[in-house]
Amino acid sequence: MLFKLNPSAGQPLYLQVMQQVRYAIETGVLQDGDLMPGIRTLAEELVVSHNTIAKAYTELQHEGWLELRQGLGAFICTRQLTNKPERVRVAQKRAREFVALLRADGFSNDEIQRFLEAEILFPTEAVRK
Amino acid sequence: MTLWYKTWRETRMRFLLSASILSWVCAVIILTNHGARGQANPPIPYVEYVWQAVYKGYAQDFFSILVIVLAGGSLLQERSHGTVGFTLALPVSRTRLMATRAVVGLSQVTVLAFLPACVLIGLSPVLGVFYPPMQALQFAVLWSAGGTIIFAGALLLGTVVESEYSSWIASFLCMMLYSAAVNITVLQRYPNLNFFKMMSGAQMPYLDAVTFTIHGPLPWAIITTVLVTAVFLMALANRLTQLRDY
Amino acid sequence: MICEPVIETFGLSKSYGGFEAAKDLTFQVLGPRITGFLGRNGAGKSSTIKMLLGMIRPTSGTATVLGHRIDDAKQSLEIRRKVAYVGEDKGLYAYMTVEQLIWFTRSFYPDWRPEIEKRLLEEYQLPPRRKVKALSKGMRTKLALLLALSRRPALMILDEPTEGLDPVSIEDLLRTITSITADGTSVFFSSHQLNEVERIADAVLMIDRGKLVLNFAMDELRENYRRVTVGFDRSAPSIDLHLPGIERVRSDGRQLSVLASRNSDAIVEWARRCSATSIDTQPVSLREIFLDTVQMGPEATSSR
Repeated sequence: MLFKLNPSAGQPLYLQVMQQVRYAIETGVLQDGDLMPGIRTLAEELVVSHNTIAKAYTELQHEGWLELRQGLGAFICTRQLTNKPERVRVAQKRAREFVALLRADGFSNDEIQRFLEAEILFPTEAVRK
Repeated sequence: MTLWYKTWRETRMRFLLSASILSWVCAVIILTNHGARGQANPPIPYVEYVWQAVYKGYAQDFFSILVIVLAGGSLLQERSHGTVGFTLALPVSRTRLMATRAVVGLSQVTVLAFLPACVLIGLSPVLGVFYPPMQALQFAVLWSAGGTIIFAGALLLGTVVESEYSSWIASFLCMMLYSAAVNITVLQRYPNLNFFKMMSGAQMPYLDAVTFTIHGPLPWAIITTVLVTAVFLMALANRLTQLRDY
Repeated sequence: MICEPVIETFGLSKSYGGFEAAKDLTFQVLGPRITGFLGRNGAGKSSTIKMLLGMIRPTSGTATVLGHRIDDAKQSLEIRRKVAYVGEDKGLYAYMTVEQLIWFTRSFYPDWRPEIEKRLLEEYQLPPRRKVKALSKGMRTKLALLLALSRRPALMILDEPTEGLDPVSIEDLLRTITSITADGTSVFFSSHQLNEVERIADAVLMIDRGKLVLNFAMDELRENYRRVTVGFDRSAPSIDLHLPGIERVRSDGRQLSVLASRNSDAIVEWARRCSATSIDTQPVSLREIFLDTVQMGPEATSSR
């Protein structure tokens, strides 16, 4: 699996790793039973602190996405996944249509991104002004 | 131990050079002895000539300067080479570094002190002259003691003056001042304070003023004092090294 | 993961006459992890490191490294036995050959690893019989690193380790640093290369003009530090500086820029209540916070 970590993205690296693993599982890139690289191997490959990968794997294990089998390694576990790929496809379609709508209204990509971020981070309450 | 090797490597060149120079000086003195001695009438006896030229003369001057040169190259000078960070990061105490330096240096000084004896004993017969080996060896002992205190003084100055050349000059100047002090000022009344005199035996009771040979026991009391003073100077050098920031 | 302090300083200070190289430094470096040590040239990084290793005596204050005190000669020796250090000048004995220097260094450390030495010798392509003085700067740096890495020290202190290295070598070095932490070695390294520090460091310490100005875990920086830029259609009101988390505020007519170490939500709330016309929240990069801290000096606020 290919990771792309951004040290200045304002998100701890271990969270980025977790997110990318979860996304890979949702889109079927990582499937049930796939063997993940060892913590040390992955840390060396990505040239990040060993602690980062260790933490990511531990958290993923707590969430149930990774199963650590003694002596064998870390395996992907998708027991909690239900029809995810389908859901993802639907969501992606919705996002695509929404963005197209806004673009048609004349907004730039940056503006659209800001709207979305603002909404996600600071959801406006209906009862305001 | 690898520390000995490092110290040896760092002083090797100057030691070999010093040994060569001193040997050469002594050799020249011996090789020209017939001509030089014949200038007076009657000609100067070989033993007297050797004493004048080697034990009191040029050779002694060369020896003193070469010992000063040998004492350079300690921690402070390593700073200008940029290696002091590496050396001080090693798990060795500064005292051990100083001690290794002192032992290697003093061993080299002792070898230098015995060099004239070797050259005299080896080269004299070639020119048909004779220098009593016991005499040469006794002077070697006196020179070892004298060399020790010169080394100690130069080592001490080397912990204070960073540039190697400057420390040599400073040591040389100190030696000159000392020489002036014991030869010209009131201190001349106390020839026991003059280690140059100890080395050559000039005006000393153990040197026969007629034959210019050592007779009687060596001045162990003076030798001991000189060595103790040298140890004190080196201890001071060690203390200064402990306190310094590198 | 349990983190223990590998370095602890208590009011460590060093002054040369009137110049204060280190002023009352009190911090902890935890391990086993990678801690970056930042600061401009002359800020006091090398002096601090040298005090920890016993090369310089502090004017006041003290410190412990791996539990040993720096002001006791015997304990200081223990520190050096357990710590691998590569200094700024990376000076090595010019007259020795590569293999002589390795033989020399190896004799002092019982924790030497010949298999690592062998691997690195090959990886760094160091000619064993060549004298150090005939090596290029990059090779000398690599040799210095080999000497430090061919052990399994509890702590590795590196002063500008990537200086003089080409990008590929830098990448290799960073990879090596991350892998040794896996074995329990803590790394404390000073660097000007903020990108490198940002990538591999778990925590960052920053010193400016001898004083400690920043001390945080990188995850804290990424998760909590935010720059909130607020715009108004009238002259910007002044923000209540007592709001927790505010590190620095810059105002410029109708705009306010707030650097928050946490709690940026409260600042956004305040902006809304003041009817701000634009609110923008961005993560803060290490470079930004470094430049910001260094330019502003130790004061908390400024207005242009």
